[in-house]
Amino acid sequence: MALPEKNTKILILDDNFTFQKKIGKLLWEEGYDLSFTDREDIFLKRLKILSFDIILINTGTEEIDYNNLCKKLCLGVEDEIPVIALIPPCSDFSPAYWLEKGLTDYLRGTGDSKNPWDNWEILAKVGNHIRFQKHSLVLKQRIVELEKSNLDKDNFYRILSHDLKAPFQGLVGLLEILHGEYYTLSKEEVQDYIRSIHDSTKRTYRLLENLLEWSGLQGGQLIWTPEETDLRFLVEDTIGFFKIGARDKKISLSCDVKPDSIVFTDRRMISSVIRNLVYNGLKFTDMGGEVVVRVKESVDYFEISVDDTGVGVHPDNLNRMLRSGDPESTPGTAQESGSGLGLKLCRQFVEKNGGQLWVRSEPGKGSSFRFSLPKRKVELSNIGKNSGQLLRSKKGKAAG
Amino acid sequence: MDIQTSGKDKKSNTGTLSEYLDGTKTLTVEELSRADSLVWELRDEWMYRWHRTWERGLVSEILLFARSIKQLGENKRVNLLIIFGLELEAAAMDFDISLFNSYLQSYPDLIRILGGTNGSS
Repeated sequence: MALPEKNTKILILDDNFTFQKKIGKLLWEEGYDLSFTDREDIFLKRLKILSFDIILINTGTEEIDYNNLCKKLCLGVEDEIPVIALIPPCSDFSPAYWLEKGLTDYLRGTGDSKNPWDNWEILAKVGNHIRFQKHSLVLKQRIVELEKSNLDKDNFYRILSHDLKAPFQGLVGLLEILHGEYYTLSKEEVQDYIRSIHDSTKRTYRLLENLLEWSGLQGGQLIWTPEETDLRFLVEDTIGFFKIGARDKKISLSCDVKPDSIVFTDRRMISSVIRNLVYNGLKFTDMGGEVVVRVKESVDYFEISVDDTGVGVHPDNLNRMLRSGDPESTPGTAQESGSGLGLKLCRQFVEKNGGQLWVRSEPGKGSSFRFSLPKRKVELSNIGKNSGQLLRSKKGKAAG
Repeated sequence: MDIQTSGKDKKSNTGTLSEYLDGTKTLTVEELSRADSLVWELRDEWMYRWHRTWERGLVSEILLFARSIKQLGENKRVNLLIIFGLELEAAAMDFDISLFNSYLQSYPDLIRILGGTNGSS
């Protein structure tokens, strides 16, 4: 006799061995796998250790506390599994009784001792319920996928606004100076401001182009597109966005990256990570402070750190930041606002590139946000498997 | 040749599982010697498989367990294991739940017999 192909498992509670043999043979020949018991404790234990697709209960089985059993079936995780009551013809309880108890369906006995149940009816009901259950599971899965897709889109639009905000803030600041102090500034100073505005506008335009191109991919879903990337060029190019803002806030913004630090990664994602971390560093650092982006190379990976001499993060807030729930934003030292999405976004992007993100921070001394990027080419299938574990807090250590 | 390879008709020459379990039939010195090298494996890896099969009670797994243990018996030329596998498989294929449960339950006794520590032998 061959083993069942359908891999559909049925748990049967029944104490009549003659009935068991008949039902067993019938269902097995249809390709179902079966587990029989006549004891309530074993029945419940099997439900806990194994995932069944359908349950059959002969309501004539003796020594069963049906009230307790039905309660457990309808309140536990088992409430997703269809339960069919096999009601002997001599039963004191009507089908309605069992349906009210929460069981899914019923089958009445035929009264014929040789064929206690109608075979056709058993197969039809079991088949139908399994089909319904499978459809229901597919629907639930689709709902989860749609909700996730919707959330991804929401996140994308919030990211879009978050990334565009910083360069525009710089532009607005420069234009305000030009507008307010135009007649008091020297010609060289005006030219200097205009050059800065021009550079910043070009970068912002490029950023906007990247983001729009990004949004066009798969209807807003971010696709991992790695390429050989020079980290030095990437860091210098990315922090260029913040030169004006840093100068306005009198913060020293610099980078320390060796030439030929080549990594196989998604350039846009990592640029966005650096952009967000630098933005945060500037946001939480007082005038006269320092923000440095460093890249260290080890055997297997590059470690990129964004260190600041800012206000640091309290351990309670650090925990909140590291949680993956709804993001919250804290105003910066100059009351800069944000969407609170930055870190969440960074974590997702670093994970997508096979790295890890962690933070060291001490209130009053500063923070060091670090992430790793593997040197080897990461397979797409391996990415994101450790989701939720990758943003790690290394508390109690001062910022670099 | 005391090794049964197939068919219930040969069982009468070598004893049934019940006969081994109630002590009517006992293992020969040669069988005990061959089984000796297996007992550790049966107590360890196979006991784990048996326990899992017993707990879950799936007919497919009972059949697989029966066939695997029969194969082990054939490979190691231990007749009692072959008989156990054959009878368990037959009971499972017949959906004789009471019988295959009682066979499955007797697995620890089987190890005791093979280890030469069965009180009745």
